[in-house]
Amino acid sequence: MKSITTLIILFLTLSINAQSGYEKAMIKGLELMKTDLLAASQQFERVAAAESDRWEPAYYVALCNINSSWGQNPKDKTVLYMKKAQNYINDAKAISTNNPELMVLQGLLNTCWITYDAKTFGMKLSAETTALYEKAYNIAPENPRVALSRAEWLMGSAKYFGKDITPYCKLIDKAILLFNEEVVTGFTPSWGKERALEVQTTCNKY
Amino acid sequence: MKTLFLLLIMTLSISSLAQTIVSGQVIDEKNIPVLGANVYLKGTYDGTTTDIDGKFSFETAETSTVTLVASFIGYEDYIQQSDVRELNGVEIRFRESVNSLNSVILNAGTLSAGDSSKASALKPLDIVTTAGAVGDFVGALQTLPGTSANPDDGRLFVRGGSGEETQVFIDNSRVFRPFVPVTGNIPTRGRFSPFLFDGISFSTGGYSAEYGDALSSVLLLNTTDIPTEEKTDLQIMSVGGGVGNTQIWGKNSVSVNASYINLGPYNQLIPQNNQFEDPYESISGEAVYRHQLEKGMFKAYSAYSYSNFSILQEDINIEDGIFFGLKNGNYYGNLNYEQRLNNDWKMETGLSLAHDRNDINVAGTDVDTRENALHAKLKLRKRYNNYFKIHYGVEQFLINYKEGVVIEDNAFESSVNSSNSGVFTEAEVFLSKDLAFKAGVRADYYGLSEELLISPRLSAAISVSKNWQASIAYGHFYQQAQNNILQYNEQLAPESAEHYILNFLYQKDGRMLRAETYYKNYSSLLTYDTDRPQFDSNFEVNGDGYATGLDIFWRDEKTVKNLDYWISYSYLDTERKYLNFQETATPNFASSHNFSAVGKYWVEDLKSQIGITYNYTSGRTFTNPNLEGFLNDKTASFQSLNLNWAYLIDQQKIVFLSVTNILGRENIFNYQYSNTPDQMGNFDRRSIGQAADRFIFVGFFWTLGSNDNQLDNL
Repeated sequence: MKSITTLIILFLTLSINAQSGYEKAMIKGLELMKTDLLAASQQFERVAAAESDRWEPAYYVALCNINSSWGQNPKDKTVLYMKKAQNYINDAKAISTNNPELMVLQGLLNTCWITYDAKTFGMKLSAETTALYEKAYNIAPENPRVALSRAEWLMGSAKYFGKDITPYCKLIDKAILLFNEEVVTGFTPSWGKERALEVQTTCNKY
Repeated sequence: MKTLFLLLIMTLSISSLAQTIVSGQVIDEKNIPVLGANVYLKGTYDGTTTDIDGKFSFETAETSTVTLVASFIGYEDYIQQSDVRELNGVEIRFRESVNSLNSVILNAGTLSAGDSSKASALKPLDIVTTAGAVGDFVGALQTLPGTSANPDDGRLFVRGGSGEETQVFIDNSRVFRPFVPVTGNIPTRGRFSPFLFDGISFSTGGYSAEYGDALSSVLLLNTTDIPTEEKTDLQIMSVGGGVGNTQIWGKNSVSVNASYINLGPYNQLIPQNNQFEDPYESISGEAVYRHQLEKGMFKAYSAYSYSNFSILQEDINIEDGIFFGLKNGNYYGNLNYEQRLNNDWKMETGLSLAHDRNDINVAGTDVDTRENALHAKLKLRKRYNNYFKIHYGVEQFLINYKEGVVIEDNAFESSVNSSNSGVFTEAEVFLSKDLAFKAGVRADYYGLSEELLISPRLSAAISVSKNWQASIAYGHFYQQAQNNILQYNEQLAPESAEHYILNFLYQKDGRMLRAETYYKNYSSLLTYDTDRPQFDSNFEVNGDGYATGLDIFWRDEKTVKNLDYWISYSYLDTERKYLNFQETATPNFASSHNFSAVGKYWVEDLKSQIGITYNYTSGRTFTNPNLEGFLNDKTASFQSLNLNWAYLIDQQKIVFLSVTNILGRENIFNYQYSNTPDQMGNFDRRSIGQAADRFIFVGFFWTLGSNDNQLDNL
């Protein structure tokens, strides 16, 4: 009897160790994201290299690189960060197909390229990005990041053409409601509420 | 006892997680420590980031053989397999990665339009938004250095080469008849819609061993890989209309477009210098099917166009003029399949098929031509690493050309069948990111003349300073005579040219200066002894010539906000003895000085892009029989100021207005002299000028059925 208990305990100990490895690594990465994007990216890269059937680590590598692609000196270095982000988005897409979170990420990366060189990439990517957000919205209309990014993208085009942005501000309000209702499980993405509130403030200024 | 055992096991299972220390230092090629590199054991979570001294240290529970990986943006990944116990105090030396951003580029001779290369002279949009180009991709390329503007012809004349010396490829398959045939001084256009291509590379010399049978230049067009959304486009233009549609399902997509152009109503409104019997009319359609495979891509491209017109051509010797009528039908299709293989090998195959027919009537004489052509190609590429790549290929051309002439009920027929084979190989070597070489060779077997010709190609690039690089290129090039000549004499050996190119490139923050000088040596040029090539001409290949010059290109999209402009200047010195030239002379199509300035200004408040292009071409040679000699006189210079205005109504609608030669300058390209002198002994002449003084184009473009944005077309 005792030996069975021992065995069970032994197994439990081992399995806790095994499971917490991934969790600990991911939690460490998420913590690092608040202070050091480079270290966070590298932490997630290590996890991604070890966990070839999970899309989340690759997702976070891409997110870190998108966020740190700005303000690089020389400016060309931005491209290296964006290319790295694209590689990891591709990896994540290969693991998880038709994932609206990855569509949002691709949309953000496209926006980076357009900002980097509008003359070259505006033509190539703006139609694609619009189509991508619509696709994500059809799959997951209740996903707050989909709602937020799509609204921001549409608002950007409306501003460009000097059109009324009020309808898109309403979409932002709706995104905030979705953020409030969102229940996050595991390591699926949960960012965006602060950004939504920021955009809402600019809306109120109009 | 049991409790003790349990504790022991638990301790073991925990402590076994942290046993071995992995440590060391990461340095670069100059022994400078690399801060922030990611060092880890592949497949574990164990790893860390290097500190300011490039040092790292972490613990791992691994006990046997592991894979140590070190990576950092801008460097090649470092990978080492070894026993974990030997990884205490390792030295990792990074090699800077060679990528398109930091390395030299082998660009002598090449001008590209696209985003794939950092040395792009043109952006994809420029093809359609350059004033004066009116949506013809060749029009935009004519504002680049190295080309001689021949607005009366419309084809590309590169560095003293004739229009035939430029070959066009779509997805690396040869296009046999890329231009719509015309006559007199009506400029021709490229057959293909510029919207289907996302990469254009225009080489004015020294190009890769992959391309044979081209004496002066190659123009490479690549169709878009994957369309991203379904849409319908409508175009309503002052000269016709068009419609396009894209469908996507699963891994497949189809894009089709069709257009109809009729210059009749336009000619009624705006006086033409030509006397049209039937106005120019054309109908064309294109389709691209793409299928994405797990490790590759299949594309099928098809285009058909039909055009017809007839005019009464002015002639100084014939009072009523000469009737000229032409009907042209052209089919071009290509299949392209590429696949990534194991071990970084890649395979690419292409097959193109073309059929072209002309029914021509010149003053009652019927001339009908039929051409069927095929090009098949297989290419293999091996990428050893970013520093060394090599490719091999074989290709085969088959051409069948027939010409039938009916003069006063007498029919004459002639034809030619040619079969040419080529093999090529080329290696690209980066010794460092500052020094690169490309060396290739191709062998061509020309079936008709039974000649085996070897063409070496070499190029090198070296970085001189942070923003400057120098490159050189050398190559030997051959090209078979045109079919309308070969039909009279099949044995003619191919013409030959050697290119020597020296290029300097400066790039910094949205500014680019490119200066290129070259020498081109022609030999075995075709000669004959009659007014025009005919069955009893005495054809030989003992002509020769040279071309040398300097090309300057400056582009700046930085200095003035919302203004993007480029300036190009070409100096050309060329002479040749070929065709029926009595002596060595500068041909009519080659002008010494060519200058273009193109500006595009985005007016935010008007949601408009205003474009302006100014072209200057110095006088062209012609033979004046009132003076001694051959090609002994020069026309006045050609000048044209073109404007365009694109107005974005909203995301789906755009209005486009373009006026070429807005000042209405009467440009003259050549003169035709009377066969007989007048009483004073002078030969009278007639000027050969523009088809019309101005060309005005108004278009409305509308994208339907999706969220597409007309910004994309601007």
